[in-house]
Amino acid sequence: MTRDATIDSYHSSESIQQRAQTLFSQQQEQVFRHTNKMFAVLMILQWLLAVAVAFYFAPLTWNATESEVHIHVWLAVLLGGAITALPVYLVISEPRAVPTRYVMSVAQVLFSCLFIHLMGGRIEAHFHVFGSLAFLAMYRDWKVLIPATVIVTVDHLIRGLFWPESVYGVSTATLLRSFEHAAWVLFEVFFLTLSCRNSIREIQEGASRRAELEVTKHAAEAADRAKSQFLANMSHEIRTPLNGILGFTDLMLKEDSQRESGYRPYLESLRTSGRHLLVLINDILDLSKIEAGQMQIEMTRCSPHSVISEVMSVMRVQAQEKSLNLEYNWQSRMPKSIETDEVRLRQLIMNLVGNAIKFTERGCVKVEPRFDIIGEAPMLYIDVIDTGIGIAAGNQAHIFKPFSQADGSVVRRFGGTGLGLTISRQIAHALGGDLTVKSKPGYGTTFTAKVSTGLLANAQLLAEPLSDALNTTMAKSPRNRSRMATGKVLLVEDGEINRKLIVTILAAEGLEIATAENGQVGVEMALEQKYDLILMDMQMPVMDGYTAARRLRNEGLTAPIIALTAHAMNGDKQKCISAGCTGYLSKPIDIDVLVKTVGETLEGYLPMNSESKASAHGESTGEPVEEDLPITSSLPTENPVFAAIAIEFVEFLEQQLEEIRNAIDCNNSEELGRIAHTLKGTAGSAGFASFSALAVRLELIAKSRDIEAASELLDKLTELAGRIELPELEVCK
Amino acid sequence: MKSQAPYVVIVVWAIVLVVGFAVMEQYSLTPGEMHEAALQWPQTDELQRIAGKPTLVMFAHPKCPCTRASIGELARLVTRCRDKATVYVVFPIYKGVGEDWEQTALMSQAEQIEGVQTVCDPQCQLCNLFHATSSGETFLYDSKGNLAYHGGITSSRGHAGDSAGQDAILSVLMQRGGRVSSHPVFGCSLVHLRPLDNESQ
Repeated sequence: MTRDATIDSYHSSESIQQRAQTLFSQQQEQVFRHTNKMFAVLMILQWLLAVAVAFYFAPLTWNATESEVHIHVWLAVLLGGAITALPVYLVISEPRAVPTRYVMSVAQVLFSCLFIHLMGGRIEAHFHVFGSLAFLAMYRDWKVLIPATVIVTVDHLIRGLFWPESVYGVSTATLLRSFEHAAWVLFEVFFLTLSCRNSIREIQEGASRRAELEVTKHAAEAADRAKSQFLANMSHEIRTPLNGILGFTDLMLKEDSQRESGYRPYLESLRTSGRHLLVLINDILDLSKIEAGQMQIEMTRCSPHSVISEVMSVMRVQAQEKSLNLEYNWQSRMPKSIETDEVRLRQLIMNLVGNAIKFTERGCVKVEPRFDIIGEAPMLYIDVIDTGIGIAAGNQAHIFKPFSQADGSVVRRFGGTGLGLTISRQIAHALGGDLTVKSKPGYGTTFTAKVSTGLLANAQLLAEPLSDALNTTMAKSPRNRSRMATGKVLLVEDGEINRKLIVTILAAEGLEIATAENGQVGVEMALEQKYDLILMDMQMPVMDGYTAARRLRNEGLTAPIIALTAHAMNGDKQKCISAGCTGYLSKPIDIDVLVKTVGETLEGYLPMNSESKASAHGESTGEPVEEDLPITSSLPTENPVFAAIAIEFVEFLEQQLEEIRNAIDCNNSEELGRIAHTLKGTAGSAGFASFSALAVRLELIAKSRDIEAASELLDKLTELAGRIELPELEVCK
Repeated sequence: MKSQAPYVVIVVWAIVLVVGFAVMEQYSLTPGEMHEAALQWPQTDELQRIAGKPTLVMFAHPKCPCTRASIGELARLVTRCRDKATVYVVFPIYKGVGEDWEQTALMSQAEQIEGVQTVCDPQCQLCNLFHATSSGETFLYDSKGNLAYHGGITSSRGHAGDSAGQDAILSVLMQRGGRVSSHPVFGCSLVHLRPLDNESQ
């Protein structure tokens, strides 16, 4: 059934009527059950009251000085018990049955008879009849009043005809008088019936409204699901071909740099346009997700300093190109880690710093975080201050609206989509904070992002801002990428263009590449032959990447699997890891990132005594690497901050190796997996990629519970740890 | 309820209840024992008859629960026929009973009726004199001392409200005429249930 047809079927009046009828029946059932229970309790209470009344009014009967229990007491106990027994039993055993409430109606009016007798025919006792009829109306079913009314009416008519003294106290009574008594009862019943019918009508109207609301809700949910699916599909459909465009453009640029064909300016324009299109598409998709309320936030612990440092590292180049000073100063002690969505926080700061650089022609851009624990909840404030063109006061409210920039001239001069600040503010809100601006045209602008830090019980606060070395543009030429280890790679990708692109890139690195066009073929190939690395597209026909990865792991495959996916949301990353992937690359794939990831993964996976193994310390010699070469962090350790990180990692590594040893001795695979997982992330952050890769392998081994392999890997880790070299530090043992 | 069993249970239940209510009705309509009353006012020093004024005497067991209704109806009668008759309520006092028999709720109820004199009857002498055997048994002697009514003034045991006995008494007191009438009395026995003789109590 198509989407429209599904919604239309919900909307049909017939289905609404049916649903309304069902809801009405359900509510009516509920009323019956509830009233039955109430009457069951009332029956028991009335029985007890009858016994009490009998004891009060006529406890004993006398024969001069001799007495015995009055028959009224026995009648109250036995007859009252009999009246109570069946209705209570039916409420328990047949609460929904129609006869239950009719039996209740009869029993209730019989209690009226009993009370009138026990109380000596007092006028006051007769009110029990009228009260009972009113109680019976609580069933909201006028038919329930019929048995009670019939019993009272017939009783009075018969007594009036055959035994008028019992009712009227005289031996003669006219039929009219009997009707007069019955008429008062019928009078009440008439109005109770009207009340029941009104009540039923109200319930029916309520049910109709609920049915309509349900239909509307279903339709809204269906539309929402369709929208989500559309967004997910568009993300994949748009990013996949863009991946091909940008990838091949990069390749052509690389080749052109050697051939000098003269097409370079065209290719660069192509790449710029493609990247701009990618930014635009990402922003639009992000905004669509935000507006659909589907921006996913994954709260994890992360180092705010690491996030900001990474942004600074990435944006440094842009700042240098405009000869801007990029500064990073702490305004207070900062927590070592906070609980937030690291990816979204990075995106937020990246947007703000990118904007600041874009709109600043001269001077500097400063990033100044500060931590506030005085308010209601601890918050992290990040001020991004620039000496740019500024924003007029009248425009400051508009800049956060989608597709709005300060004014029309901004678009012409600086370009942009007008979505960045909208998205940034939404991200800040999602992270428990806000994004505000202060600006003066001609002097500059300060954007202040405020985000919640989450629980910080026992959190460590790091010291005051470090040395001025942080303020320098941390120009450090990137290390030369090492020659990649050779190996066999299996690429499982359904897109022909993407296959060609990736094959071209990796073949140029000296890797042997095999390809499969879907997950099914990929699984067969991976099980037939040994591959050192599998690159797995996650969205494929026949068998998708998740299923293929899961199947390979179930078959005992331990080779690393890197997921390639256009779904770049946090939840998807976790989904890939849960399926058995060891890494994750989002499309469009950055060539450098692809090569780096493949290289690091192969270095960690391939045997250490292989002649084709790349040097772990990053110097490219083109010669086979010797095993005793020192290992250093890829971070710029001449900077004290990074040196401290490297030192801290070495201390941490020593601890982790001890814990791994203990876990192996205790045969504790779960603990081993946990330690490996932690080491993987920490080693990567500290710039020791080889340890990160080995930790990935150790995590896989832990899952397969191969303690012997774990022991071998521990020896390898220990040996590598012995080769770590830190500047001006003792070699870690 | 798919099986027939529940309906059978309902029918049985209905039958049990009908029998129960029938027993209750039967009891409430079972009169007490009554013996023939003296047709002329019996002479006694305990109860004074005023010549030319009817005299009404009700005998009440001090603890009979059914007589609560009778005394209640007596109060209504007296209210309607104020000063038209001399009204006595006689409570037999039995030998060997406890102190709680000396002042009972019924005695208090009767004492509160304006125009009614309560009389204690030690040894049940007055009961014997009038041949009263059931609680609530009422004797009305007209202005000439002739028996005008003998019986109860409720329609069933302990049942308040109008009765044929009340109507008969009202006819006499309102001088509407009518012959001597009698209606059943519904109350506890004043005597141990033995044939009436001088030694009965």
